[in-house]
Amino acid sequence: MRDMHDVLERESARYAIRSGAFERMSRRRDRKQRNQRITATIVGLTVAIGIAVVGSVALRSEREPQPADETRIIREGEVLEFGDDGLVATDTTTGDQRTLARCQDCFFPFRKYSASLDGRWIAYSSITCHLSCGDEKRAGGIWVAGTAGRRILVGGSWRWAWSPTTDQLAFTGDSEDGTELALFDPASGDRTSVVTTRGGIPALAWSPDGSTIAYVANTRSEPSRSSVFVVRPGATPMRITEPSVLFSASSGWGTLEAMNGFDELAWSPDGTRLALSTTRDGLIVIPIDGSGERTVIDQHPASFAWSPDGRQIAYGDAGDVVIVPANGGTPVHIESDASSPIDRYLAERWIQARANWFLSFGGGIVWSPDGTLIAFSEGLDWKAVPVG
Amino acid sequence: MTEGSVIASKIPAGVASTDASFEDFFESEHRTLFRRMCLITDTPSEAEELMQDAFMKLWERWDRIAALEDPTGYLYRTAMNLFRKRYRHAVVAARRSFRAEPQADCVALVEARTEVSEALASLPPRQRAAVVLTDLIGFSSDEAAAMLGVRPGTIRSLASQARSAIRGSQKAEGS
Repeated sequence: MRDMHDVLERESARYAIRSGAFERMSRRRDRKQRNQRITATIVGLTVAIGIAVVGSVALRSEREPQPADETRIIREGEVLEFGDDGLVATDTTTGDQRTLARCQDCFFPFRKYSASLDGRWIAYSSITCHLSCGDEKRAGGIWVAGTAGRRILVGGSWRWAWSPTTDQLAFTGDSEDGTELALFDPASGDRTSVVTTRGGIPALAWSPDGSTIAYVANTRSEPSRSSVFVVRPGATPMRITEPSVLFSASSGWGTLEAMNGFDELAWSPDGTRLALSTTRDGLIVIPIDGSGERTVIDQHPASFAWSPDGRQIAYGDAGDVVIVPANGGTPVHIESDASSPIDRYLAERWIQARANWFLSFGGGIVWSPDGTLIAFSEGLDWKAVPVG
Repeated sequence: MTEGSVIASKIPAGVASTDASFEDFFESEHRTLFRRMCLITDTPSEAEELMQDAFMKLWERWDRIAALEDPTGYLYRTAMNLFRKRYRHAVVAARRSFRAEPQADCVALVEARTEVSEALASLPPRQRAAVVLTDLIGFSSDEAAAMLGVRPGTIRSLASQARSAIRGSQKAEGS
């Protein structure tokens, strides 16, 4: 192997770049920015019209004016985000930030964060920080915080999701018998076990109506195989897929892509199907009625999103946005060159119903509520492409 | 160790300090990235374009990216994402037209082609990328797979095929 490294290093050294590389790049950047400004004007108009005509009604109904409520850690007009000073609540009008959890000198401790339905609580996963840069340094795991303080729920797990209809948090953690899926009520501090499996639970997702939790679990008899289950808290889980090797051992959950933190399991908006991104079988769509799953694409997308009408799924592929029919069909690529920058808070609002991961390398994707735009994160920015 | 620092440990070039200016970062990293991309693309003009695009993406938000523990890792991942995109487009374009000749005027090759470089040039782009990412830069199969959007087993297979071809060319060169 070392020989091959040396051979390639010698070959690599044969290439030399002309001087003035920085100046050439600067000129190219100027040309590109000029073209982007033109495209941005067009897409900006589309966004404004879309919001004014279609989206505004929906957004108003989701965010009705509320009296000042000191029990809310995320107040009206604020979003939870990763800011310059750790995890912050940012006023989207003034830009003012309130620090909620701090780790000043290290960019990576907060890997996933999300506010509960009404903003009374936030949850976040932190990794154990080995730098002396904050009070999170010895405590990686799931944290839940409110205005009165915070508490750590379990150590080390990334798998959790706020209910879309209540303040309950579904989360996974180790138990004596394996892995436990449980609910946590931050107001009372009560924990309620939902199910325990001998293997792992690598993914979970609430149904849109908040009644059911879908999860992926290793089967007891065949630990290398996984099945998808659905469960109503307090009832018996129901398996909806046969055991299958969904994830390769060397590139399963916990890879760089998975650690980037996108939804791997997501309900369709009407709650009749699940989409699951696997490293072995690609993206599969599973009807909840057990009528059989279908492979939609045979690759493993880093992220994906259902369209609001549930007919299509968008995913990222090498910087482009790709749309594929949810019941299978030919994927359609939308060139990233057609994209324009979009207000990140607008995209945040669209994505708020999903677990809001910290996107360390970009690649997040979300549809506008009216289905006319798809926003995607690129690096630390958000861009959008028109659909159709 | 964060994933960024894991990547950084695989990059032989010096890691830029977080407070370095973008121009300093460019100066310290662009030659190495260019050479790596030359091996992967086999087209210096394309390698420079990919290099420029990768740096431009970092430049757009340099105030935030400079604060990353490992901007170099971010740079390489960005470059490989761009390569994936361009490779896929090239496959599509190749079905429609002949490939344009590389523009030789923007770069200079310091030596003529060797048997090894001929062998590298004859490899499919994915094989070149797999062997460069794993054997030269030192990424694991998992990491390279994540960058190229394939499975780790595919990376191992691609790199193995590339090694066989390169070793064959070395024998030919020695005979």
